[in-house]
Amino acid sequence: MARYMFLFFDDETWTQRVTKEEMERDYAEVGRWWDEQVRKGVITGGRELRPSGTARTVRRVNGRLIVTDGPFIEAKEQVGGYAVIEVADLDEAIRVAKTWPAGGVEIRPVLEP
Amino acid sequence: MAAVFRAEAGRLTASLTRSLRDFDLAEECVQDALVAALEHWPREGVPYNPGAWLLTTARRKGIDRLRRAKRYQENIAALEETPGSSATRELPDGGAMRDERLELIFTCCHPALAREAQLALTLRSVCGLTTAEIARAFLASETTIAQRLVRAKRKIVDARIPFRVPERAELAERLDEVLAVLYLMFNEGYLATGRRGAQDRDLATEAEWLASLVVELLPDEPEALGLLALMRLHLARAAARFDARGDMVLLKDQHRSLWDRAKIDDARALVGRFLRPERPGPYQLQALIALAHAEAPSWEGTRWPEILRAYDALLAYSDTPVVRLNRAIALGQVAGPEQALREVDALAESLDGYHLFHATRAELLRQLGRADDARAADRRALELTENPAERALLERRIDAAAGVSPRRSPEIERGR
Amino acid sequence: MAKFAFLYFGDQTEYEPTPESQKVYAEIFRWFETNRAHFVYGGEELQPTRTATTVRNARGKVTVVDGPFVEAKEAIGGFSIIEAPDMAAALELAKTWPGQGVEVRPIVER
Repeated sequence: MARYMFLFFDDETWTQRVTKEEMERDYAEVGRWWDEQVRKGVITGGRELRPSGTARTVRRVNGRLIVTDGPFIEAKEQVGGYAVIEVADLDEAIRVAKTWPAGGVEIRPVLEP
Repeated sequence: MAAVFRAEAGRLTASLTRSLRDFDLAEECVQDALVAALEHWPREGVPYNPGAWLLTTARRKGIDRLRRAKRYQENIAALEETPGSSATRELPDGGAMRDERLELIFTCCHPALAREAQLALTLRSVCGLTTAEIARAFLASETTIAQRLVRAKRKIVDARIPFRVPERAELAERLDEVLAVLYLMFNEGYLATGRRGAQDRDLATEAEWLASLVVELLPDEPEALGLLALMRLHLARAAARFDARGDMVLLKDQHRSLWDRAKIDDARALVGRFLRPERPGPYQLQALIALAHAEAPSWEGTRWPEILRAYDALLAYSDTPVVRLNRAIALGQVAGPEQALREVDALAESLDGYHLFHATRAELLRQLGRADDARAADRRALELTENPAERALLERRIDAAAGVSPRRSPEIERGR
Repeated sequence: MAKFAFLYFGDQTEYEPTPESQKVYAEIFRWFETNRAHFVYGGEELQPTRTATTVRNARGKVTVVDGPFVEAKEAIGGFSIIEAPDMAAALELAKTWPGQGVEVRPIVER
C-alpha cells in the first residue's frame, strides 16, 4: 500500500458566485463523498481549512523572521483542505481523485520514513 | 542490427521491469546489453537467437549492478530464478517469453508524466533509442534529454506509477493518451523532414512501428487501427511531398504515381477492420479522409462529399479552428469557393497567426479571381512560416501570381 | 482552544545535502520533539513537487497532468495540525519553526 496526500484546491471566489442553496448542496455532496472514502478505508485523515484570507505566514529570510497576512503563495487557486489516503498505487489515487466533487486535487506521495 | 534492437529493446525492458520491479534499473541493464551487442556482434557475428542473447546479457548486467550496489537481495534471487538464465543458447525464444511491452507502453505514456517525458521515455524504453538519438530527433541537447529521462523514471518510482495494462473501464481513456503520444511523435518526425539529416532514426517511422505494435497487442481497438492506417497513408505519400529541389509539394500538385501503393493497400485493409461504426473516433475519421485522398485519381476526382461528411463527424470530437479550416477546403470542392471563403474568413480571429490559414485563403481568393487579395494572403503566410520547404512553395506562388497578374503584365508590355 | 494547520513550505529545488541543510534537518527533528504537546496530529512530510500529479475538473472534463496545481519555487513540503488558544499563540509557535517558512491556517471545526 502507498500513502498520498490530497491537496484540495479551488478558486476561492466560487463561494461568492453561488446561491446559499447551491453551496449547501455542494457541501452535502462533499460530505457524502468524504464519508464514503472514510468507510472504504481510503481516507485515513484530513481537514477542511478556512479560506486563505485567514492565514498568516512566517518566513525566514536571511536569518530574519517576517510575518505577513495571507497565504505563503499568492495565487488564484488556494488549498482549501487536505486528506491523507491509503491506496495500492498512483492509478488508484487518480481514480479516487477523479470522483472528488468540488474542484481540483494535487496528489503528493507521502514521504515514508 | 538496428531492427533487432528495436524489436527486442522494449520486450527486454518490459520483462526485466517485471522481474526486478525497478524500471530504471531494468532500462540501464538493457542499454548495457545493447552496448555489449555492439561490441560483440560485429566481431563474432549476430547470435542464432539475438533476443535470448540480449536477455541473458541484460540479466547478467543486472546481477552485476545489484552486486555492486549490494542491495535488493531478493531481486537478485528473482533474476537468478528465471529458468534458462544460465545458458545463452538454451533460452526459450522470444515467443515463449511473455510479451510485456504493452505494460511498458502504458507506463511510459502514463498521464501523470509530462508529454515530453512520455515521448522521450517511450523512444528510449520501447524503441531502444539512445539518449543521443532522442536528443538529435528533438533538436535538444543530450543533457536536457538525459535529465528529462531521469526525472520521469524517478517519478515512476517515487509516485508509484504501476507497471500494468489499465483495467477495462480505464482502457479507452489510457489508450487515447498512448495514441496521442504516438501521433505527436509521428508528426514531429513527419513535419520535420527536410530539417534534419536522413541518417537519424526517423521519428515518424518509430511512431508507425509503435502503432503497429499497439495494434498487434490490442487487435480490437478501432482507434489504434485508425491511427496506424492514418500514419501509413501519410507515409505512403512521403516520396511525393518534396520535389527534386527539396521544396514542398502540396497534396493537390503531388505526382500520384509516386505514392506507395503497397502502403495504401495495407492501410485500406486496416480501415476494413474498423469500418463497423459501433465505436467511432477521431483517428478512424482522419484515416477515412486520408484514404479517400489516397484512392483518388486526381485532386478534382477526389470523393469530396465523403471527405466533407468525415470532417463534419470529426468536429464532434475536436471542434478546433484547424479542423474547420480543413473542412472548408472540402466544402470548397463540394459547394464552391465562395461558400468556403465565408467559412474560412469566420476563422480569422483564431487563426490569424497560422500560415496555412492565409495560404488557404489565398487559394480560394485566386479561384474567385481576386489575384491581388490572394497575393497579399500568400505574403502574410510567408511572414508566418520559417519552414524552408514551405517558404519556397509560397515564394514560388507569389512570383507566379505576379508574373501573370493582369495589372502588372500590361505595364510591362507598355514599358516595352 | 482552536486548531490550526501548519503548512510547512520551502524551496523545491533539490540540492545535495550540505552540512548546513543537515543541521536544519536535525533542528526540525528536535523541534517536533520539544513541541509534541501542541500537536493534535504530527502530520506528514511529502515528497517534492516533482512527484506531484494534479487532477482537474473543468466543466465536466477531468484531466490528469504532471506537476503541482501551481508552479512556483516554493511549495508545501509537509504539514501538522496544532492546537492553540488563538492565532497569536499559534504564530508564536510558528516563529520557532527552524525551516524556511510556515503558513498558519485556521481549521474549519465541525
